[in-house]
Amino acid sequence: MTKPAPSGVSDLVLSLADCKQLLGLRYAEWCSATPTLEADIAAAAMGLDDLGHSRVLAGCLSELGPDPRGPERETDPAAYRNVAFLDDSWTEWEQFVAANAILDTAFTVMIESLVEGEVEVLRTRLRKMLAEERYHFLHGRSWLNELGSSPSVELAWKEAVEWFGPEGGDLRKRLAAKLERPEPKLEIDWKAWDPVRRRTRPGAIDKRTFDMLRGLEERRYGVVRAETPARG
Amino acid sequence: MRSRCGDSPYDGRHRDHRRIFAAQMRPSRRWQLRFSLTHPRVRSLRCSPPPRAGGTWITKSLGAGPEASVLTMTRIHKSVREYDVFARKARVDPLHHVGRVVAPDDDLAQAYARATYDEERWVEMIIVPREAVITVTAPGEE
Repeated sequence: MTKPAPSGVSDLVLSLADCKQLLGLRYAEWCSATPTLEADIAAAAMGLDDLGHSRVLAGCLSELGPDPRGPERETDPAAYRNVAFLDDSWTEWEQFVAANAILDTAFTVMIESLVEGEVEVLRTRLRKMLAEERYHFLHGRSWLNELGSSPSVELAWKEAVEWFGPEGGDLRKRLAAKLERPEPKLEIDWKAWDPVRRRTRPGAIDKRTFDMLRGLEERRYGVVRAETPARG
Repeated sequence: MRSRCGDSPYDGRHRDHRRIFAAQMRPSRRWQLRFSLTHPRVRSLRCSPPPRAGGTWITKSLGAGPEASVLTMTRIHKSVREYDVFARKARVDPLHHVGRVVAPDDDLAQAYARATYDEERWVEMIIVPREAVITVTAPGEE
């Protein structure tokens, strides 16, 4: 018989799923706007990967106990548990690189931790993600080395540390080791940390993205069908 | 009916025209750059191989307003290398050439090869820097 998942795991998995979904959407927004044609293709491929990962993670929730998704997700954009870096579309390439290198790798570090953990459904279903994430990591690290440090990188690192939480010391070390960079000295106000959304910064995803997540954005472009008169 | 390209919710939100590329551009410039493969000048730039000894070239918008459409080129990678991509679908198959990528380093070349030539379920994919290839015979040689 499988062991029940520890409390809080479903909240963590939902946050990971939301972050992956938003990350995939933000990658996709850049798939015809990156500096090189090859990076365009990589952005599209990584976006598809992360949207797929989000679906797999959300599919695990039913086996982790009560579903943490409530009806407020239909009305309140702040119900999404993504890091603040993904709230709005990126306007600069360096934001893409910061998210790709730091945040995507932070999510991978968490997935590695879950794959090494004791929850069977996560051990088995998340393993394939790690193989795909290897290419995201290579892409992000290479571009990060190209661009060097920037305010976006610092912000992404801070939000990754916040997302790991106050008990995430080992995860922070693993992230720094993967990126071959020293852990930055960050001052985080843990009193302001929201343990459900795993962030300190208030705010939420922009309205257009929220509408798109609920399928409303697509409906605006849909074909309006005239009502067929009932046959007499 | 609301146009998909004009009247965007992004209009007027992002004023920094120093950026190289951004997904959220004002309509006229966004049309030109987001659909860069249909734009003659940018298409020829982005779809052609970069200078061999040089770097990967990108376009950069100049000017302060949405009407500014002068494009110039700037270098984003100091140097790039060409890599040939080989793959096979089954263990019994030989590796065969599926294409090439241009990247500044081996890591990015791997990421680009995987993203670009992911149309099959390969059991193996490798990349080889073009400079590592030793030509034994070439077309036109006796």
